[in-house]
Amino acid sequence: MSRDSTLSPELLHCADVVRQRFPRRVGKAVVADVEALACRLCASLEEYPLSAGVLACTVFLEGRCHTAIQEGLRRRSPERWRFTLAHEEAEILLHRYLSPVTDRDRRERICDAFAAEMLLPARVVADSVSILAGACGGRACVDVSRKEELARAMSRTYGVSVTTARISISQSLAEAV
Amino acid sequence: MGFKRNVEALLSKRHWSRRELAVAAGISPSRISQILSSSSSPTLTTVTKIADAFGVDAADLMRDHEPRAPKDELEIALRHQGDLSPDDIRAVHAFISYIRDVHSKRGRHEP
Repeated sequence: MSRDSTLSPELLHCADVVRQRFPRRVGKAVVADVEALACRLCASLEEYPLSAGVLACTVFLEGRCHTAIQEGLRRRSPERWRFTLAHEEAEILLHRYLSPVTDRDRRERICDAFAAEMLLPARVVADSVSILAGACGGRACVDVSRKEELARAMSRTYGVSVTTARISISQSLAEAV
Repeated sequence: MGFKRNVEALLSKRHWSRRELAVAAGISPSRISQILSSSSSPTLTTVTKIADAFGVDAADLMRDHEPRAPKDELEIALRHQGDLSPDDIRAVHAFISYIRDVHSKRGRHEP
């Protein structure tokens, strides 16, 4: 997963609206309930025997969206399953917005960033990073082991993969410099 | 030459890449490129698969004028790792066929 830090203010607002309309409360933070959102967005959501290389696929047919996620992914890695579902939801929500984006990699990055923003908002990460930096005596003093500790804690708390949390923390630290 | 021109026109209209057509038709991307860039004629099976992917009649696709409006509007978003293998294309194509099948059955039962 890669997170594009250039998610536009409009898309950040859009992710915020999704979190407010489909809320899942985690402590004081509000993240998106991706399963509730899927019930609203997808005409069907299935576990399907896709190949090893394809994690998910959404078919837009006659104005209805049908999403398949690789069979067994939810059991093997619930965090990855949630992120994959959030990514497909981003594809659906941003369908019109993304239609002029012909660069497939850029499209994927935008959907990844939007998915991350639904599940682990940058503002929440920034708050945690500020607390950590304060405890360490400044952002520059946050060492790798402290970052890893925070990533694992965020992964457990928000139900995202450690990789997603690591990327978000690194970006938050970089943006503040 | 109607076939190639019609396929290119539909690709452009749908904003599809050749890779997306390959997935929707269940044909390898290299075969699609071969068909569209060489002077060799595609087999009837290939024409039918491509026509089905676009939701148009195979006969229309072969004519010297643009095919009539598609029977359905299909778009695909994929999340995959690395290049698509033949297995990946087969799996996604199977899902598209399954959805189309369910869709057409539902359409038949709806008044």
